Amino acid sequence: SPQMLVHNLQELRRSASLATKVFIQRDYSDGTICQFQTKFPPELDSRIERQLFEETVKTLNGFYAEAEKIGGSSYLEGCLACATAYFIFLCMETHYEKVLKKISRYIQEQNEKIFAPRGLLLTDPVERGMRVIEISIYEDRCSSGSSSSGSSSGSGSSGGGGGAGAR
Amino acid sequence: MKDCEYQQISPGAAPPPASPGARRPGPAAPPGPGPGPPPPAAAPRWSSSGSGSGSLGRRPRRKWEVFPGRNRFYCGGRLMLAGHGGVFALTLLLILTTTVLFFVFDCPFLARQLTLAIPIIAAILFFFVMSCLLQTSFTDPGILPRATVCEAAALEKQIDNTGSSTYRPPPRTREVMINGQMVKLKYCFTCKMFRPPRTSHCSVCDNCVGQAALMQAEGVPLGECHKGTAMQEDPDKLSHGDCAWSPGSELITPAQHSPSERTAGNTHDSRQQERFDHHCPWVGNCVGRRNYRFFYAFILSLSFLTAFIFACVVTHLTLRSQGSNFLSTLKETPASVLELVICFFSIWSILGLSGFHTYLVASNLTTNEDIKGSWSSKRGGEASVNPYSHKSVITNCCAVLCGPLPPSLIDRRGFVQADTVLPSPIRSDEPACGAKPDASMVENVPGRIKNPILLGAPVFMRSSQAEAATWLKPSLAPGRTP
Repeated sequence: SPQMLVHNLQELRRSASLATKVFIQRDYSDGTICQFQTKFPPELDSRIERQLFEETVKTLNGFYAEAEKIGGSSYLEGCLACATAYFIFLCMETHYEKVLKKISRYIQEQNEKIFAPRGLLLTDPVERGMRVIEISIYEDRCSSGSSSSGSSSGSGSSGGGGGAGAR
Repeated sequence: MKDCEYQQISPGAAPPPASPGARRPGPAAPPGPGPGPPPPAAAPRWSSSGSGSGSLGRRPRRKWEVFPGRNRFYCGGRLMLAGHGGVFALTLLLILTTTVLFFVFDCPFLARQLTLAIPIIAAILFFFVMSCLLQTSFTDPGILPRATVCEAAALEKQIDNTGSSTYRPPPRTREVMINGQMVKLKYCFTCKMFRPPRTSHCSVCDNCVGQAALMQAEGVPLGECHKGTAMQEDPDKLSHGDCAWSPGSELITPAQHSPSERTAGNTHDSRQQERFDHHCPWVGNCVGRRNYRFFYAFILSLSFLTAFIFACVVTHLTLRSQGSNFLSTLKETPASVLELVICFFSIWSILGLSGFHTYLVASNLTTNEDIKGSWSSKRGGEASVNPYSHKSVITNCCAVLCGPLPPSLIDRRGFVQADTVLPSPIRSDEPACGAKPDASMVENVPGRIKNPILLGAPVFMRSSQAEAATWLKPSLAPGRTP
């Protein structure tokens, strides 16, 4: 039942049956800043509402844009660092790192509230070199009979979905 | 490159090693790991940490200990260096020697005769130089961690689905639009991923390193990332297996450059023109997007320091020899001559390099793109403009020097964690390290865990070397897009 998946995120990772993983790729249309594609992957079609997914990705994109923005306090921090021969980088946490912590908390929260109840798990992109958002899809034990064929077709179509997304 | 081998992933077993083990790789260390059979020395180490529940009693390893690139780590992973440290030691020695001699022999005289400001300025400059040098050398230049097994497998599947069915797979490229400009991303066989824009694989440290790329700009017509010449000249130069830029493989002859770039590159380090952008042996590290500002500040402050010492020593000798013969002056302060010689010979290359990099910063290019003439209209064909540049010198400079510092993506001090199902390294600050599976949940899970189809694994059997080797030969077919 879905309640067993909600219980403990760590147990979910270790002992629930992992069906497949979907990778949300980077969106370079606005340049090299860190943004992810909001295109809805077909594997998640039956698992989560499109709108919830898009909202999560858009919020993450917003966080990354904030982290990489030049201007305001990050600029001051940069100038100060430059003036001290970047010595202060040894002592203090940069603006980017602060935003990354925010992102990490946000992802944890999203996992607990939205994704884990649906048998999904988001991995923080920073653990994947900021290349992809990895979404792990776990098997729902209720539909154990029919899902093996479902999962193989799911992994079969992930290639097409990912390839189309790259264009 | 023997890196194009994939094993069937069986969920119950330990994950294939990400590295044949390179805590302190010597010169004979294997160039690039692959998920093939591990060498015997590494197998026991990996299997103990990778078998999840079987690793009881074994010290958990930190990620720097199993890092696959050719880097060396000090202070428990806090500091890192690339390649051999010999030339870096020479740099340190030269700087320290010159400065110490200056303080000991010239400063007392000058402080007395002229002003106390001279040693103070020298001290400040020296502090700047050392701080920037050490930060350049010991920080992560922007290394991209290699793709996880699952990610590599998913990409592989995607490439197979969209590739052709001929015996030789097409070159692995992916085209993306960046600000309206078409840019080709190449697949890195060592790191098993498509290199993001402005990333190159450094063959010295065997990592994909992000270059000093910044913000984006307005869209423009067609151009190409990294291989500007290949697109306009010879499609055969697009070789598949080259994730290591060895000297000569993509060498642009000096005749194709403008004289200023050539001089700057040659006098400092002739290898810089052969290799991609920034593996600088003088600082003992790659210079990438994270430590470019340190590098730039280092060469700028070093030029000031060298020029300052040179001027002061000349002043010193001049003042002294006013009272007496020049030769007897030299006998009184022999060290000054040594300083003069060192400064004289290094000032040209350092100033040249500073000027060159100031130009790069102001126009927001990277050395690689500039040398390859990626965006220059002189190369013939359509005019293309750098899609990465802001349209203003000041903004570019500020962006490079004062913009936000991207974080290190390799998490050196995190602990290596491997799931029993799929490998998934967890960051050190997460509390998941000690989680024990709930017995009741394990029981309820049916035998689906053993089904390899779930991981798409059987599709990726490519254990034959011959098949892998075909990917490494330059394809005669023109580059096809997936």
